Amino acid sequence: MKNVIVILVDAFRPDHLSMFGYQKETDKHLKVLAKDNILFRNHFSTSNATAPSLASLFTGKYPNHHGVLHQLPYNQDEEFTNFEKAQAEFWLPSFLRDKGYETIGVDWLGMWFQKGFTHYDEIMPGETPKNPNAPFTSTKEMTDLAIHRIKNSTKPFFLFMHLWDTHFPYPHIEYTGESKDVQATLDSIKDEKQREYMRRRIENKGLYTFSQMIEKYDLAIETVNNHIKRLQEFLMESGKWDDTIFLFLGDHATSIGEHGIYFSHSGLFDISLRVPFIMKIPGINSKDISQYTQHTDILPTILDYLGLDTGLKFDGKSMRPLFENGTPIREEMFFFDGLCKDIRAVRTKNKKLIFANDNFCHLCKGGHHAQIEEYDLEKDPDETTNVYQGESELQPLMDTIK
Amino acid sequence: MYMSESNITTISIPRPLADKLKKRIAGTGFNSVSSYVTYILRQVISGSEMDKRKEAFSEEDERKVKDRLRGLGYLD
Repeated sequence: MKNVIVILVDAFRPDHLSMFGYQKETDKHLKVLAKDNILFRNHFSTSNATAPSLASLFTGKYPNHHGVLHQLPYNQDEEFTNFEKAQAEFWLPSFLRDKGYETIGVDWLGMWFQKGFTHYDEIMPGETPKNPNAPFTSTKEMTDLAIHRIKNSTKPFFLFMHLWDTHFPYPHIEYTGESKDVQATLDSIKDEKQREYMRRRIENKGLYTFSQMIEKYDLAIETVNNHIKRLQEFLMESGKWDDTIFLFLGDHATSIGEHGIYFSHSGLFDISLRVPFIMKIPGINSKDISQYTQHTDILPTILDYLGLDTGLKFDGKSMRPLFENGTPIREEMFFFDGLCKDIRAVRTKNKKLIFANDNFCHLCKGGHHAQIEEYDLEKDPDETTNVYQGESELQPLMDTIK
Repeated sequence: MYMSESNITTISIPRPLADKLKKRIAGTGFNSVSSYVTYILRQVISGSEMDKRKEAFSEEDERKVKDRLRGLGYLD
């Protein structure tokens, strides 16, 4: 049986990697990994928030089908009642554990998400976090634990590791910058609610300017890059790399100022949905894929290449046709806003329709979308001009998820 | 939900019970006693796992998660 590794990087955007055109080489090792394996240039999450995205990865379903529509703690009770039912039907960690895998979770979310893991923790047994005041453990400490668990595993293993260093406010990344003019930073934010939200988040965090925050974000990516290199080298030296299916991707992305959203990821703009994704499948040659794929397609692909038939129907599809003859596996994608009350979107290659039944943002207490927005992505890839004029060819697709 | 033949097994229940269930599903969306029994059992299993999980999450666990969410900017 092949081993399976899924590394999820939080708030991870592709355009801060040189392999996607960034001016800085934040990804010295990752770009080699991508070149040798499968790089996806148009991979999208199902949500702009962690909980719904993670649930999609391991159920193969969209949030309206697996139940978790929102980020913790903004879930209605029925979201987790429905999620329990979806997990009872299929949950990848439980399924692989029942197939004889040692299932290793390295994350802190716990609760419903720890179901099916033989081990679920974020730090080496007996150790305490080096920075106990940080809201998450560092990439180094998590990678140490992952290597420790694999070293001690006597069975085929499934490793899920969720790295948080790229999430604001970057508590493990040291960089001060030259200016400490916090007020100038806040004054540059036009929207009052966003300004207040930012003020609350940077207070006493050693964060001052946007350029400093961007530098920290880039250094966080470099940190992830370095520890993925370390993990890969360990797997190669221990003879486990060749027989491992390896996935490295973002759970969702983030805005660093686009659409007036600062170092956060509310709203269903591409900037918070498109993520880097690198995949290694033993026996599949390197590829550079531009066709569209989504988180729901990952589970069917893993099961397909493990040769495991569940007899179940998922929302996503195996990417095998894409790898074997370049056949696209999807024409449309669906998105669910996990940070605002009720916003959903459908996207094709050239168009996106967003419907906000209730656009209240739980984070900044403002809103980021009009009731209905449509974007012509061919002419306006940055989604700056709402072209909706009373009807949309995407309406029938939207009707399937409303 | 589609299920392949290899994923189905036979379970025996008393015939009078099966007859009662057959009457109960008349006019509903259930097209067989088997699909109705599967539905009921799923509800039972799901409910029992949920109860166990709720017991497993202490108030302390929830408080810790909320503290982290606060540190990440998801809570005031």
